[in-house]
Amino acid sequence: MLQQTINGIALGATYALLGLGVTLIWGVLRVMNFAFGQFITWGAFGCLVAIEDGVPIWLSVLIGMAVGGLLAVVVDATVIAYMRRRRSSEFALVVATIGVSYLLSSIAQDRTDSQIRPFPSQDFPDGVINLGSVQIPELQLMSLAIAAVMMVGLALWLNTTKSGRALRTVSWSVSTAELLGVRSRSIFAIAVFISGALAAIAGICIFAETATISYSSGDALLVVAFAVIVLGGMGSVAGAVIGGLILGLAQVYTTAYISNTFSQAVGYIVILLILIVRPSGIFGSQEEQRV
Amino acid sequence: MFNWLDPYSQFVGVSLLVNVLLVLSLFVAFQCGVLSLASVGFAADGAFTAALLNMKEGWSPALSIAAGALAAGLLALVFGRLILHLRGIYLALGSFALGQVCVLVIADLSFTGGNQGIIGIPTSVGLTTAAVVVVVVCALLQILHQSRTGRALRAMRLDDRVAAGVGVNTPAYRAWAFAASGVIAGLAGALGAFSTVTISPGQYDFTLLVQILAMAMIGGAYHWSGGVIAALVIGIIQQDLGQVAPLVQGLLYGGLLVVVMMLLPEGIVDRRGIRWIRGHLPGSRGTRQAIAALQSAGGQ
Repeated sequence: MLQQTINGIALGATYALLGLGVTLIWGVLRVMNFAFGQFITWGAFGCLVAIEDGVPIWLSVLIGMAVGGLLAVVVDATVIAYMRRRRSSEFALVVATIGVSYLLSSIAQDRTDSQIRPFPSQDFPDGVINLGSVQIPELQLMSLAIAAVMMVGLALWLNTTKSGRALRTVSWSVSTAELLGVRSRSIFAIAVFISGALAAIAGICIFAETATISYSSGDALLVVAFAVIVLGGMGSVAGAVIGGLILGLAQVYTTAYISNTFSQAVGYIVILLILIVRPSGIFGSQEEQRV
Repeated sequence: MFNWLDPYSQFVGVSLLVNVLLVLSLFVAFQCGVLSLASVGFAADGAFTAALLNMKEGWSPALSIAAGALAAGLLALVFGRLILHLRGIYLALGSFALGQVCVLVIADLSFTGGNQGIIGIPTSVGLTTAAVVVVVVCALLQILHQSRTGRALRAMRLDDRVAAGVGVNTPAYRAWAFAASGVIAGLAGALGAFSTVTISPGQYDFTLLVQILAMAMIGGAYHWSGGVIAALVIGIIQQDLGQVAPLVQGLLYGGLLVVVMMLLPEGIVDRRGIRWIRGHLPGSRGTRQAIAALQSAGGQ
């Protein structure tokens, strides 16, 4: 039980990163980006290619994050920015990002010949630390540490720096922020880049654990990311962290005590239940639009 | 009716028409402003219900197909009550989760054959049956389009608060539109099951959803004919391309979806387009005016 709880927290911490990535775009841009799953896949593949080329592991991870972030910026600058200017409907934006996601996924499928590739988990820390009866793999500790650093960094950035404050202003009201001299376009770009980079690092942590990666690996995690923010409340940073931990624990417990195949459905069931019972999530503020 | 076609073309024709029905299932909900991503799940539901009733209970194919469609419709009606209070993006997300849960539950149960699905369903649906079903559904949709209810549904898509304000019972219409979407999706799934011998949960995946969504969005939410045209044209193009690499398929569907949403968010058949065509048909007022203008210009 304790062992499972620790596994769940480690998994939940990476899920929280996914949730933070989506919540950041939602909070600032009001876009539900279905292409987010591709930022996970492409970022992790970027890292994989770098490792295979003999780049040191820490640099490979950074390269992966850069790939995920840049891809997110490219998608935003081409498709989403254009549609924002045309004031497209919410539905049109969702459907367009579904199209982008399918397009990017089929490019990845083509480049990898639809094969499942091994993710070199031996290059990551692979020892085990024994604490009494509990075993903690170093990989899990690494994931936890990365997640903690990212979360603290994000919180510090949002709350103490000038650009972080600008981001919060933009998410509150774009026109007010621009009146106050904030360059909303560069703030959008920063938020989108960070979101893509968070997707990539979360993907790398999870694929290092499972030791495999394929072109469709990110799609399963997209559902997880959506479940996390629906659980925690859209646009809420604290909600994304708590939501991630709850979902990680729920998934580990289901795998351990119910069935392995059923754990796939956990994300979807959480989305459905929360939307039925409390659409604003645990930490979300009530919005007139949602109910 | 279609005996002049070789068996393979007939089989392809049925799968084209199944896709047409799936697109119509999306359209029925979308015409009143409900972006439902659950249709693929409802199709799986209809397919497995129909196949199981026929193979395990010995029901006739026609009865099984009707039962499959009704089962999917019932599911939509029940879960619609739970998720239809959501708006916009939350509804899209909720219906997406609902559809996926349907498929995952089918893949997890033992009497549905789990991930392998069901093999050996009698092929009792031919091109004629499928065509008749599609024509009937289209005729019903045209009657709906011209009716008071149809106008109310379209008003809800443009602004459901205004629609409610002028006396449209919006919650009831949304619920029935969602249920109708479930029935048509279930019908599509059941017809598909009785023409392909084998069904598995894996075929009702994200790829199918993207394909159907692309066709439905290109068709637009104003009139059912848009979705039908889009489904037939894209389906025929894909048949002509034959077995293509996933990259080509991704460019075709993903690229189309993005481009259409960017340039033609209302789809190919919208009000303005239809008015323009009407205005330029021979004998219409627009044409008569144009002829009169030409004649007076020639007389001067």
